[in-house]
Amino acid sequence: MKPGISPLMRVENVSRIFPVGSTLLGGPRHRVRALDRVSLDLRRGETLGLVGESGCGKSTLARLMVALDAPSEGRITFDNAPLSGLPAGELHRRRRQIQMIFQDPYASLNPRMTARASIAEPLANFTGMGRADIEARIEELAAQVGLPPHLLDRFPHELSGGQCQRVGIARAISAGPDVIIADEPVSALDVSIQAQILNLLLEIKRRMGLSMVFVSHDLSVVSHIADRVAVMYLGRIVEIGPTAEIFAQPRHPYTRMLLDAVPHPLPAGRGRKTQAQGELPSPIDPPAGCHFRSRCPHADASLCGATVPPLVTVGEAEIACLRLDEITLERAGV
Amino acid sequence: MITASPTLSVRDLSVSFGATGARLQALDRVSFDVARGEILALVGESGCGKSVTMMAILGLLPERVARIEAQRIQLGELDLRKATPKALRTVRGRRIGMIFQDPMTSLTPVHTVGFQIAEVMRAHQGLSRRAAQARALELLDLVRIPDPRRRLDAYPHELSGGMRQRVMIAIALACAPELLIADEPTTALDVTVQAQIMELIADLRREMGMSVVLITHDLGVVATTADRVAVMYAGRIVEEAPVADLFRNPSHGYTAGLIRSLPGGETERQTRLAEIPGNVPRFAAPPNACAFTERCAFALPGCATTRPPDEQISQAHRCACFNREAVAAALRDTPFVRAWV
Ligand SMILES: Nc1ncnc2c1ncn2[C@@H]1O[C@H](COP(=O)(O)OP(=O)(O)OP(=O)(O)O)[C@@H](O)[C@H]1O
Ligand SMILES: Nc1ncnc2c1ncn2[C@@H]1O[C@H](COP(=O)(O)OP(=O)(O)OP(=O)(O)O)[C@@H](O)[C@H]1O
Ligand code: SF4
Ligand SMILES: [Mg+2]
Ligand SMILES: [Mg+2]
Repeated sequence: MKPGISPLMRVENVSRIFPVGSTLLGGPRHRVRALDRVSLDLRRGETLGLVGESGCGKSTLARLMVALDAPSEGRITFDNAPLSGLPAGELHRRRRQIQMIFQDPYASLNPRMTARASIAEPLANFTGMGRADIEARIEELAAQVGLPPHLLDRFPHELSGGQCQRVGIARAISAGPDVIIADEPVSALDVSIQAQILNLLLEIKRRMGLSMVFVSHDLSVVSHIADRVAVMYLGRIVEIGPTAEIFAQPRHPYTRMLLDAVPHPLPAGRGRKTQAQGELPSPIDPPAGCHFRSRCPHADASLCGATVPPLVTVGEAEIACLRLDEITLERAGV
Repeated sequence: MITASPTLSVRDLSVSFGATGARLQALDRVSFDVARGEILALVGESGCGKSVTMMAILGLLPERVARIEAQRIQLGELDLRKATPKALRTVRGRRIGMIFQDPMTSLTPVHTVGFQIAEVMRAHQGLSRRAAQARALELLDLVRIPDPRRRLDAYPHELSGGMRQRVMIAIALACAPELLIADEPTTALDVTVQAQIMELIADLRREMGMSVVLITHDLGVVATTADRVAVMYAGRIVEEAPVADLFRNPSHGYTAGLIRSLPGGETERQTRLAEIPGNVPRFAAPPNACAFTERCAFALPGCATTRPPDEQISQAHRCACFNREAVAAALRDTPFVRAWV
């Protein structure tokens, strides 16, 4: 953190535990730690990318950050004030300040509402604007997100995926939020539409001076859009730092495996064997100690099985690996 | 190209759906060959006709609504256009293996993996129960499933997504087919697992000498795995080339648009990507126009009034674009790299 500037949002030691496989008589049989003592800051004006494989907890964290769900342990603050346990009025104000964009552009809109009505909803809820003002503002927002005005009176099923996502973005920015949490906002879109929406998000963020959390499993997209990146594995952050640094010089063995698994460009990488080994273990019963040790080429059974690796600062990045020093030396060929 | 006769050869395949009068043209004169032992990738966006192409070849389109026309659909010596439904069923089990995006929907939840693999072989090869079981074990080993003996008795829900996809591949390969059709085989999987499955498919192709049609929308997967690519847009193949040629020398406005719009390449971080304007068409392109003209940065006036013919750029590279020289000149050697390199 830069001295003197406090982060806009702060996630401190947050866990989210879900009961799974509950039986009628015996109650919950297992618990999944979807998030396991996660801490991170969202700095003012930054885009923080959140990456990791399916089930690592990205959406869970996103939902906690928009207060759609509450942590089981730990706390999240916005401007130094806690996000959970707010009285209704406060919560309402927070909801205006933190908005979410979802992956599935169709499912996230009400199928019985026109685009116009969808965009009007947060305006009516949050701004106290009059009818005429709302109408004018809708047209303005439509122009901002590149939605032709004649589409405003259509229902979601009459719009393309990209157009629906524009409506979702218009909704999210309509009440003037400070933070946007975007959960896989382009993953469900056609390839030729993704660049349109990424451009729109970049532009809106810059113009409105927003902070953004950008969740994606597509590393190229995150590398393009994020200032910093947090890499998650089975409910924990294993590495977080400036985008350029993480991608140019990944330090955690998992980050390396992940970057390495992305299909290689031509022609140099063809025919090279992937380093990726094994699959995600069950989140119900993750390995003790370092969660990654069952797939890690550097794991030391006694060390990595015994201790949960803490995040250690290296330059501007933080890495959670117990054998970081040895691995770094090994890589340097010492 | 001078090769032995191709494993699969398709000429002017057209498919339309619906009642006469309101027909939707899904495929418009699609032609391609798959050579023996090669991996041909079919790329294109949702709805462009990739799956319909394969379903038409396999005789899996609903007869009542689908009208199929073709000059040729030839599997080795066999004319698939003339094959009876019964013959097609045999072809699908023995000579063409198939894997799909979601392995869960193709496996039965109530039987063990071993039983399901063995069933395929009993049905198609008339193996005894014992022989089929033994072969199932070999197949699980072939697709690199660890501890295969134990997995024979596992039910699909007990396996991870990657393991299920390996089982599907085992079933597809059970009868040592000459052609494997893989329709988005890794779209539902994580990248680290995707890398392993693609590698498995490439290795098996080499070991078994089969041909592969790989359907995908991911140019990265194409670049890593395929030998040749056919790019589809709105029911037509607009460009086809060996992988290296396609990326070095993209020549269709759509191929160029796609490559330029990807993060990475020449676009600096956090700056505007070269987007393709407009939307993916939901309806067939007009017959007398280039299917991509409305969204194309290289469009000439003629592109909206005449369908560009397929032209051979080099021996193995063909493209249907009136402005292909300008496209190729603008894109020549555009780096297609991971965004962060
Ligand atoms: N409501 C819930 N009840 C039970 N388990 C849940 C619930 N929500 C999430 N989980 C579990 O928590 C873990 C994290 O899920 P989450 O959706 O956050 O992952 P993700 O990183 O967003 O994955 P994806 O990339 O697939 O979207 C998973 O094991 C998931 O099954
Ligand atoms: N049985 C059918 N009846 C009517 N139309 C159909 C039928 N099957 C496919 N289509 C249409 O044919 C077109 C091509 O569909 P197809 O499934 O081949 O697309 P695709 O390229 O495989 O897309 P995706 O990447 O989404 O799988 C689409 O417009 C689709 O709606
Ligand atoms: S702590 Fe051990 S197991 Fe975990 S990443 Fe580091 S070396 Fe691998
Ligand atoms: Mg998610
Ligand atoms: Mg398909």
